[in-house]
Amino acid sequence: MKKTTIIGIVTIVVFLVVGFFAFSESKIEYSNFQNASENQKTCQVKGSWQKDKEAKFDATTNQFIFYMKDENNSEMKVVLDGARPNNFEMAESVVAKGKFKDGYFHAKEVLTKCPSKYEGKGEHLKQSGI
Amino acid sequence: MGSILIQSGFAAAIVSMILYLLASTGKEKYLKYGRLFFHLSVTATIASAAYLVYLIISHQFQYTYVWNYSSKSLPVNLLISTFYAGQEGSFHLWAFFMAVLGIFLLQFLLKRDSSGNHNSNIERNDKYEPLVMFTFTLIHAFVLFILVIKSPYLFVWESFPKDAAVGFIPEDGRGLNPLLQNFWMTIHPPILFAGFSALAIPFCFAIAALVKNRYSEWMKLALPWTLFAGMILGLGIMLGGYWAYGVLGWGGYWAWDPVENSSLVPWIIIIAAIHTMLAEEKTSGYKKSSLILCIMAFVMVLYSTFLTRSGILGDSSVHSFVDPGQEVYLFLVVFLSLFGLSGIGLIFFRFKSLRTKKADTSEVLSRESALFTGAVVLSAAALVIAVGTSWPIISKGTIDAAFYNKMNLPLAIFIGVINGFSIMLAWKHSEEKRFLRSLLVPAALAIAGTIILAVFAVRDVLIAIFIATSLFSLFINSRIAYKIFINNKTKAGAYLAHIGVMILFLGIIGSSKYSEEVNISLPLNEPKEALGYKMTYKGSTPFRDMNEEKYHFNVVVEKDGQGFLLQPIMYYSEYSEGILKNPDIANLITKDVYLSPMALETPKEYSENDLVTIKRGEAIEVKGMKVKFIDFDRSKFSQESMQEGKDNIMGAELEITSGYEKEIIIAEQKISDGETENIPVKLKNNERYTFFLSNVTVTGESSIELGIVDAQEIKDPQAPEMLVLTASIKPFINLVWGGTVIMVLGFFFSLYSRYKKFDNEKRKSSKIIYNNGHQNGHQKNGHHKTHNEKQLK
Repeated sequence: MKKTTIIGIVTIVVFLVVGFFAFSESKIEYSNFQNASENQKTCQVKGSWQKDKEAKFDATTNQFIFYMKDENNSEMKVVLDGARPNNFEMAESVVAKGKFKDGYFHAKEVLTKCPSKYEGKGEHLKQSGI
Repeated sequence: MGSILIQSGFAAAIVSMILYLLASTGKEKYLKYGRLFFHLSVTATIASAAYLVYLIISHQFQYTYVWNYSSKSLPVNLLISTFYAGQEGSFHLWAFFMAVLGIFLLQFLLKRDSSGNHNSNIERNDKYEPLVMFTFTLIHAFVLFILVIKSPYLFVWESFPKDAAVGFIPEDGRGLNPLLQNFWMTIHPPILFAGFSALAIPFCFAIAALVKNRYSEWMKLALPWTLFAGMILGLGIMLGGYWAYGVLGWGGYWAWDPVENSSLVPWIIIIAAIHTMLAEEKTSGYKKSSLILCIMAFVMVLYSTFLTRSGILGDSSVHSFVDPGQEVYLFLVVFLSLFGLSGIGLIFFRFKSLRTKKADTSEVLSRESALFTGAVVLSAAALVIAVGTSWPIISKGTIDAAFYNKMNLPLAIFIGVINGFSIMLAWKHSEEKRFLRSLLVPAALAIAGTIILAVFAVRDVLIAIFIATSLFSLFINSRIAYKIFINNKTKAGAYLAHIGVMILFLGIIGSSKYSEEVNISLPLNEPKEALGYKMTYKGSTPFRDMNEEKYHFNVVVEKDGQGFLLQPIMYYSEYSEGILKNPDIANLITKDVYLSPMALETPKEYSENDLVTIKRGEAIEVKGMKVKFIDFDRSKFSQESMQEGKDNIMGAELEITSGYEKEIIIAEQKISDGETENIPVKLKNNERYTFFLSNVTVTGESSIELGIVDAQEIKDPQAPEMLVLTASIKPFINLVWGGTVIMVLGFFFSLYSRYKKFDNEKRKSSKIIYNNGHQNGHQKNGHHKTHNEKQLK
């Protein structure tokens, strides 16, 4: 019985330690472009798409390129692996997940936050009236 | 009427709960009334559900909920499923399943309590009904109370007093979110909620056992319900996975999304509970573990309800959450903490009496200790997932999905090993040599299988080990299942379920670790190579589905002279005000070819068809709007900079009338170095149309040429278009679905054989009781003895 207790405890400790390291490795914090360019870690940056700058899909690399301003108002070019995100044009804000690379933010994923349409508001009610 | 039903259901549940509480203290006369009020509350709940369905089907749009989620154009099956499209309705679905399960639970308890399925006379009157039903009705009352404070029966003028007059009936509803408009919507949420509701039952039994401080029987009574909950919830979760994979095009069946995770955690815990309960059945040890796990499984259901319904995870999930409001948020906190704290508190309170006698603890090499270890590993997996999912509450960041894969891989490896071992181990004591010998053949087979796979593809050591342990367990289970299957089909349940899990594991390895994915752009009619296939985009074809104009994007996929057509879908949804996409999949036995559309790129932003010419001061009707060209806007234009070759902007002032709205916009053209660039401009309140100033005629009769692009017209017949998509190969994904089906079947067989066993025992024991009744005469003796027995303990 003693032996198994020891094995049990060792297993738990190992599990917790491994878990802790894996955890801190996979944490993706919210950040801004300045921090992202300094520490070059994977992070997510919230901000808004700059509508006056170009936003285009590059068919040769299959990447979507746009310019984004973060919450500190600093602007950066964002290159996303993939096509124009859903509801990109109407997003109130966008969240880019990725890391800084060679002067631009290389995003693996861009989430768009849209005003919620899943619950009706009074104004919609008026429109659906007679 | 609906609100009255809900309120009376809630009131009846409260009364029933109080009566059951009184009954549990020994005053049996209240039992009758407790049942009566329970039936009242159940009837009211089911009636309210039926009433809401009636309101939806008969399009009573004066109800906010009906208006918000349904519309006249929906087919009947989807119309009914709008019942649970919103928060109120999904709580109602929960309440409904609580009510339905409650009927069966009460029947079950009545049978058990009256027949006396016990080992001795002493326990005969030790009824489970009062305490179990007390807890159950309490939970039911809580769910109903959410419906009282967030009622699905508000009228539109109550929800929006400023916008609607009393008695106002909207013409049509807002409709169902198009993402939810498919077959899976009709079955996935009900099955999931049935599972959540079923998880309340083992919890009730555990609480009853703890309050009574008697642990000899609760597990036998709770086990069939636990199996049922495990089966239903497991099925529900994987149906959600299939929905995400096949229709929503998230690329996979599992994304470690908070909503997915929060239903997975209770499931893993209840699976762990099933294992310790089996160990408890055979050895009468492991009581604490079973109790804790049954309680935690339900607490995790409440926790996941809190996570997904309180809006707290709003920023970190693909599922959309609506803030339910302060009251519901607070109430969910109360709901969660009450049941969580009382469950855990009771265990602490009874900790001493729960201590298993040391003499009973069995050897390491026994099936029960293997079962227990398995439960510990499962709990560890649940913990990992729960911590990761909760992280956004603690900090602002999120957790990379890789974390879950990394942490669960070794745990899954363990599960394969332990499962294989445990089946070869005997209860209580196993002889070491015989045990090791029995492992020889399956281990050799598993290693051989892994080596073959390693030669072909597998390069990762951990993955190879995972494959080996899964195969190992698969072989062992298959052998036993085969042996049992010949004699008695239903007894093979547990082994069948494990076969299913191991096949699922292998499927997960194949379809995730060895999935290949690439983004490609396919110009019209120009073949391209990707993932070993030749893919050609052949243009799009419009079709009508669910009253929406959608487009099939036809891609011919060829390999070795054989070809097939895949038709992923994209369409503009008025409801979502955006482009929605559905993937298309070729299921090829050993793999899926998965095409997920991303975008249709047209080189020009507008085509010939979008152009109109307007003279100054004139107005024309185009695309349902009245467009008037008022005058040029030269505010950013100067002759000097024009001559210096600097950038210049020429504008045209337009007055757009669309419906009742009138708006002035400036369409602009940038001229630099002789190149002109058209700056797109949109209306303030309408994202649908984009305006381009494509040409300006200043000399003579002034006019402009305007390009007006309608975002709803995806297809552009003139321009050579290019389809952008993500193509992927998912090897052995059929094992994922097949494994799940086998696992659920396994659950079903176990449940069936449990039910039979229970039925037989009851029939036998009721005969004995009948005889005893004649011999002993007074039943009351037993009652007194029960009290004595309690005191003794």
